[in-house]
Amino acid sequence: MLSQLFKASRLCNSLQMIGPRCLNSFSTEAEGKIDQSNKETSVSQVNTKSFASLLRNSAFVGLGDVRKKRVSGVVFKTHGDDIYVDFGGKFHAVCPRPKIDGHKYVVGRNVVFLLLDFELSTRFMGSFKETTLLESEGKILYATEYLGFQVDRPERLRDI
Amino acid sequence: MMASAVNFSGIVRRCFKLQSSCSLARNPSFQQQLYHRNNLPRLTTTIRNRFVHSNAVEQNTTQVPSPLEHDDYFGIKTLPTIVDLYKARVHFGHAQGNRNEHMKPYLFGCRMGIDIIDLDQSLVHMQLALNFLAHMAYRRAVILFVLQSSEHGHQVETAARDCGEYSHTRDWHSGLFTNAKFGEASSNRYPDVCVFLSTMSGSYQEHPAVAECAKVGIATIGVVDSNVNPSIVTYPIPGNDDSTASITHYLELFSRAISAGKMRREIDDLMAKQKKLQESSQENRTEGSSMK
Repeated sequence: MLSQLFKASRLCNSLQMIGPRCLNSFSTEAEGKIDQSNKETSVSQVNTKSFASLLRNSAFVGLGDVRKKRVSGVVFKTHGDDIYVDFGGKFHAVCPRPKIDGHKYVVGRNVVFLLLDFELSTRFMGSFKETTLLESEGKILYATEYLGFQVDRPERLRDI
Repeated sequence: MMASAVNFSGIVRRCFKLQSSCSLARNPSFQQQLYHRNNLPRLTTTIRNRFVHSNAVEQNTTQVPSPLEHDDYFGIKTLPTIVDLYKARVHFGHAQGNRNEHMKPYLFGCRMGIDIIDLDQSLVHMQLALNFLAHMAYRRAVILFVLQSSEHGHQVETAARDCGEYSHTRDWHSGLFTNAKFGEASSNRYPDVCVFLSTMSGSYQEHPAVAECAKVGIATIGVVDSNVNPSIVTYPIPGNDDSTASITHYLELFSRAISAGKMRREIDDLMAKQKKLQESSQENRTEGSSMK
């Protein structure tokens, strides 16, 4: 399911930041004022860049310390009250279903997510190497009104 | 009448320019192969007709170097790109505390406690691995995809089946290769290449198949993350082995390399067959004329 989502919506970017810098773009998206031409020029610029510059300008580096940062993610699986969120990092996070508007968290829903740990990995006594859980940790703050793979349709965004 | 030597590759190149306007595949060499494959009988008839009345010594106009001498026989070098690897999150390594010291040369650095894999190096290693894979597929090798992951196992099985190769995504019973009855007496056969989407097994240990392949002499291609020992992998590819985006991207690249190799095999076999027919018909014609 997740691999299909990637192919359909091209979500393979690094972390999308929701913070003071990005709240402006978030609100313009809500008002339906997305400038499509900006997106296209940025893609063509990206194609000629080196890895060092791609990394330097990535949202992951822009976040700084990744803990306690708000990022946008997408729900790619639900299992009862467990919600699996992909926010563009190495791992996904599994969160409990929020009490408020719990019914909104379906597969494909964009969420705003508070990231607590990029990788749950600690060193236990007597071991040189850390043990990793192969998961991130975080908390879902709220759901946005549109589904992840419909983000590129501005008509849909004006409904907000 | 001396017929000029037919520049076969020139014909193909001119036709390729017509094809290049439509985007059939991203890889231009792929388009060339597609065109070549679809129009081969027509092209070879043209050549044969031009040579029918010639008394001159036929030169070998199809100066194709042997596959192993060619720098990039399958057009594989342009397949992986840094931007695609970046978008597929291949540069994310594990946390610093999980690092295997052998992976240190492949790391770009460590950002906020998370190892970042150097994609410039990953690109080079990926090109080498894909070229090798394509060559093996060209030589009709048996390729085994290996991954022990409940998350991505099914995806690997599907991808392997779709490119006509094999996969093993379940528990590995130790001694599967080293303690097996292979050889003339049995009907079993070792794979020629093992492609590891991750060299870790599900229980945070190195996958036993990596060592078994090394013992038995099977070449391995392996995606090595920052917590893994890449020493005995024949073609290591430093990269993320945990994200679904990365696994999807690797499977796409490997499938395309295998398809390129297999398609080229079909084309070259067809070319060889046509050439044989052409030569035998030339012989018949000269025999007939000498008898007269």
